[in-house]
Order: sequence, then C-alpha cells, then structure tokens
Amino acid sequence: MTAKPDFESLVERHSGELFSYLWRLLGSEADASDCLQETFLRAFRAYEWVRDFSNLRAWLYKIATNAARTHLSRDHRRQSRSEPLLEPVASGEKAVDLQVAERTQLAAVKQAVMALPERQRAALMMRKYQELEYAEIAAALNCSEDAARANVYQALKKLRELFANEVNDE
Amino acid sequence: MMNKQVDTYTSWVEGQRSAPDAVTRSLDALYASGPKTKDASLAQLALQNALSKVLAPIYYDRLDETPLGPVWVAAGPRGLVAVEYNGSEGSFRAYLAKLTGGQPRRAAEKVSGAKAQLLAYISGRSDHIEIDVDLSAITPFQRRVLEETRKVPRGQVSTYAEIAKRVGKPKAFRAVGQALRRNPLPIVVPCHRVIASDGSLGGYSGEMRSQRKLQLLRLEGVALA
Repeated sequence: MTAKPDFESLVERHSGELFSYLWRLLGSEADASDCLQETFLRAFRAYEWVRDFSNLRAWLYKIATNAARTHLSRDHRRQSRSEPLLEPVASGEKAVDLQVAERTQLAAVKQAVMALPERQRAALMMRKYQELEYAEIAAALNCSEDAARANVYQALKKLRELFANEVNDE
Repeated sequence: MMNKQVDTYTSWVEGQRSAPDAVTRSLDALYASGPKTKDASLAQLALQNALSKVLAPIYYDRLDETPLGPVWVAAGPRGLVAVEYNGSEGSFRAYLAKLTGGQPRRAAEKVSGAKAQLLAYISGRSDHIEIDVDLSAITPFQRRVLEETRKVPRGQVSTYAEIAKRVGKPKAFRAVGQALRRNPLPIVVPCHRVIASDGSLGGYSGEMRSQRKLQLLRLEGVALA
C-alpha cells in the first residue's frame, strides 16, 4: 500500500493546475487566487481523514469545484469581476474593425460560458483544458462517467447553439 | 437516447482537435493559454502565505517527574507556545491545534532545552528562565497583560490592579484576571506572581491551581500571610 503523501507535496504538485482551473471556472485572477487558498485550506483540514490516496488529484479538483461554487453563490448579487481579457487594439497587425469584431465575439462567448450551469462549465474545463480523464471528472463531480460526458456534451451543445449561426466559419 | 447522442458529441469533441470550429476556436482563444504567468506566481505566493500558518510545525513533549507533577511543553518556530500541567496527550494536542492552528508533533529533542530550563527552575536549581516565547496566538490585550506580568521579578508579587494600570486600563482588573487565567505559558510567564489586592490568591481557580501558585511562590521565596 502506498504511503500517504505529505500535504506540502500535494500543494507543490497541484497548486499550479488548480489555479489555472479556477481561473477558467471563475473568469478572474483575483477570484481564482482567493479560491485557491480556500481550496487548500479546506483540503488541509480534511486531509487527516483521507484514507484512499489513489486519486488525490480528482479529490483536489472536487474541493476546488466546490470552493468555486461557494464563491460564486456569495458573489451572485455582485457584478462578476470579469476582467478585460485582451490586449489593447494594436494597429498594423489586423484591421481594427476586425479586431473589435473578434473581441466582441470572444466577450459574448465568455459570457455564455459563465452563464452555463456550474457542473457543465466545470466538466467542460476539466475535459478540454485540465486534461482530466472522464473517470477523474466523474470523481470530482461525484457522478458517473456517463454523466460527466453528458455534462461536457451539454455545455458544448449550448455554446454551439448560441454561436454557430452568428460566427462566420471561414 | 442519451448515450448515442453523447457518443456522437464525444467524437465531435475529439474531432475538434484536428479541425476546430468557430466555438472551439473562441474557447481556445479565451482559455487555452491559461492565466498570465505573473498572476500565477502572485497566486502561489498568496497561497504559501495563507498556508504557512497552518503548516507550521509545533513540537511538544512531556516533562515528567517535576515537583509540580508532569508538565507538557510545546514550541513553534518563534518560541515556546504552551506549557500545561498534567492532562492527557490527546487533550494537549487538541489544545495546541486550537491555540495555534498548526500541526502538533511529539518530538522530545525539539523542546529539550525548554524542558531542561523548566525542570531546573521548578526544582529550585535555577532562578531564571531564558526562553523565547511566542504569544501571537492570543489577543493583543492579553499579550500586553502577559508582557507586563513577565516584568514582575522573581521573589516579588504584583496585583491585578497594578497590572491593569500598567497596560493602561486601570479599571480592567477583572479582564486582567481572565487574561492571566488563560495564560498559555504558566511558570515562564509568571502569572503566579500576580495576586489580588487584598493579598488573597485571586485567579488560579481551583484548588490544584492555587496549590501550584503557592508552590511556585514558595519556591521563589515569597511567603504570603
């Protein structure tokens, strides 16, 4: 039986990817930073009771997902602290109006992503950008693998419905 | 119904890898490269800062066979954090976890210096204790009370009223009493040298504690009428 890794090594191994994940879930560096601390503080308090160390990564993603949900539910009356994503319009590279059009498009997509049900957004980010296997996503969301796939599917379906007609496919 | 559609979309998802559609391109533009490196570094620093308190190791051990009975001793990176008479290891650990938020670990060698000094003092072989103390776990008012109490020289006593005056709150002698009752470092911070103005022992509630207070005072050559 493998030894239980010490908590500091968990922080070292996973804090980077969890910050990226929280950034993708919450849409803001400041919120992601707050949630990252909350995630590891919760993990620290619960770690004493963990008996199965076979998938600590998925366990941490579960805590992070819940921490993000708590953060959003506290924040629901406030405007989301969505920060400008993009560099200022640079002249010369592309026509300015094309850049503006792209920026508007991206802002709309981001808004749609933030409007997705939390589990769908979480599953989408875990699959597409955090490179978790469906088994790990299922563990993190406390559901079946099929349900995990369904969450990713629903998220992409929704986004496609909203944007497939508006965007010019070259 | 669901599974077939899910499978279709799953293969669509995978298909996006080679020929992304507009939605995928937008998502990638927004999310693929992740947060800026400087933001990630800042977040790491903030995380380390938040965790440093809970991860701080607190080392403790028990000093056996003293004239006052067994005495538990605990120290953190900045100094001694707790001294407790008697009690079980479990209750001392729980007390430490609550007091410091850190992780208590039993390690005799880490507190051997403090143990030796305490034993020498309680046994009467030494008349001073030179140990760094860490009072960060208590309130600022309690800290001021204990810092003033530390100034009461061995062989002398002060009163709650006097300590209250010294911390600038002359009417707060009851709060002073409470702070002294909550002293996490008996003996080292000499709350036993503070008595009531009428000469009675005051604080140190309970017979056991009054006995210890008297014992310590006697040890220091103070005879109360």
